[in-house]
Amino acid sequence: MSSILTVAFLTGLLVAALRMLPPLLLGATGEMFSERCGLTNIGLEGIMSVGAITGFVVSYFIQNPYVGMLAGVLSGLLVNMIYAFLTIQLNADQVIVGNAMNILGMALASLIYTTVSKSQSGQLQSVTADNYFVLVVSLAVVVIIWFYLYKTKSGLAFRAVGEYPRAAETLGINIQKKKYLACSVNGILCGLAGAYLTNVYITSYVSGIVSGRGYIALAAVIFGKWKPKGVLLACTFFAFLDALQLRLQVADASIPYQFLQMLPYLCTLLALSFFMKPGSEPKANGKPYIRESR
Amino acid sequence: MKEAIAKMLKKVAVPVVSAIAALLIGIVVIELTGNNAAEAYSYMLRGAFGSMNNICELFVIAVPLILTGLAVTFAYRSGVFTIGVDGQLIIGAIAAAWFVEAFRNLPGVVVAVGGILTGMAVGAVWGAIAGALKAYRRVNEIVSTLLMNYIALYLADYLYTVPLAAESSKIPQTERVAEAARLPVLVGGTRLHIGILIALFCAVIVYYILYKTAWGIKFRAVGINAVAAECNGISVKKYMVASMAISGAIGGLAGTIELLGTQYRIQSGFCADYGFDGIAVALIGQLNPVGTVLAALFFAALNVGSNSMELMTSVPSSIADIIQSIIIFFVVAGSVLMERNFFKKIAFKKERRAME
Repeated sequence: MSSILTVAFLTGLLVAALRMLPPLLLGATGEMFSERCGLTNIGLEGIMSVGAITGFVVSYFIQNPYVGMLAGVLSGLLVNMIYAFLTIQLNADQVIVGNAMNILGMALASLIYTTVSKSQSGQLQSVTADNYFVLVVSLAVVVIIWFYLYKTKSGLAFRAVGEYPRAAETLGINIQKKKYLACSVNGILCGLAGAYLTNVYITSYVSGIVSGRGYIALAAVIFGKWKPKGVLLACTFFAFLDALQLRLQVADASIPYQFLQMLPYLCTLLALSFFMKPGSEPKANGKPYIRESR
Repeated sequence: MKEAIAKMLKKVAVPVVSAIAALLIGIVVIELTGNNAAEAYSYMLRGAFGSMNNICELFVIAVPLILTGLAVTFAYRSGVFTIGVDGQLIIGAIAAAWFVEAFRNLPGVVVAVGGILTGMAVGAVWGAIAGALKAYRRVNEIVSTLLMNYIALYLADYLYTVPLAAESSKIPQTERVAEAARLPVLVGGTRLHIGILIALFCAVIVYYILYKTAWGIKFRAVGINAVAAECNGISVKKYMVASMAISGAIGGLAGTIELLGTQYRIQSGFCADYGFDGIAVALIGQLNPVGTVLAALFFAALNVGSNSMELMTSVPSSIADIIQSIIIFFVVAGSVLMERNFFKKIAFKKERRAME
């Protein structure tokens, strides 16, 4: 064990963790924002997949990763509008729609990739972007969202929708508008998270590139108690675990790496079951708001 | 009698119309990828129903879908919105794999039955944990089952990589199930095994429990209105735990049957996402055991058909998943609109316009 605790190992770990952080942080922040308005979206994995493939294909053809990432952002926004329409307009069950978003997103990504790679020859490769650009963006996003939620009047209204929509509507807050805002931001951030994976993390596309990051982001929202600072800490912790796990897999240490992979989920489950006071969750989270009902 | 038929039609209308609409959208998607949709669909049809072998394959694929769909149906009917069937399936299957390996010297029938019971028991415990967390610690079951899916997945990964790994194999996987302990094949020359009968029997039992026993009424009462059920002296918390245990047992059964009947060993990607497919199947089956079986057969046909379509044309088989997700969107939207009597309102508006 002592042999792996060298300076080189630790700096390597830090660099790897910082590379893993942006997609988690973007996804988790988007989801936190969405849930603060009452919309649980378990379809992050699917939205990220769409962002990843769109970001990759566009940057491959234009040979510019930044344009690619912008396209990824737009695709995330667009595809999340399906979720938005069904849950906001039709009050459909959020879990079922989110689940279908995952199926759709992953299938769409695979369909687009097979179709494009058949029309091209050789291994598809895009140009790499700056390593830390998206990291800075994602940290800025956390600050902006914190500022919006806690320091603006509009943000207060936004949170009210997630806690007690009926009271919010009585005050003249446009609930649908807030919820569409929530879905737009979530779609944009997840789209960027996906595009980061295919433009910075690696510069090609492999099937299953998102590999559960959408679900880890969901856990991070809960572990971070639905607060920007908490989500940031949770994501940093999870990113470190992920980086450590990959290293241990190579270093062949005595700890089975599967237990490290399991740790984010286990910690969240234990925290949720035994240490967290109930009531951190936005009260109207996951519930459709039906005007006519009592 | 007429009313009963009308009621039936109303139930069937949304899923059937959704499926047709999704298949139509599928045409557009296939054409967009630069392929011939008519050709693709005809290969899909032939792949699913073209020969005895293909039809048997369809039933093989349907077995786990029926079971995971039933697991979801039972929990949802009891008001527990689990997404944990994936975890229960893998943890049940790995437990069964352990049993089958540990007791391989016993007679084959004993090993198979013991494996199935082990898989169901471990799946039930795994499900009951989430049920207990919901009932006694007020942990949202969607969140807890999601987390437990990943815990189960990595635990199983560890188990088939280290303690249960097959000795002479380079990739991490369990030992092959001994021939004597495998589920007997129903139709010679195909993969179709008696798992299909077990799955159908399970559907009958779920239907019987839910609709023909006092116990089932209580489960459904908890699902419809937990507060009212509590007022009527039903111990809601116990029923929540029990419903998750039963759902988990069916999930574990799904994994075990797949192990003993179809795949014979567990490795990375074993039954991945079958639990999530089960949610779709249950939903399209309108949370009804009979509907669940029909929806599972439809999904299986779509999967088997699209695989052979991929071989014969250049249309990727992921088109099947896209069609599946679109069906779910339509079913969800359609059910909501039906509830709101949206269609009646349209008819009313038309009438009024005609009168003016």
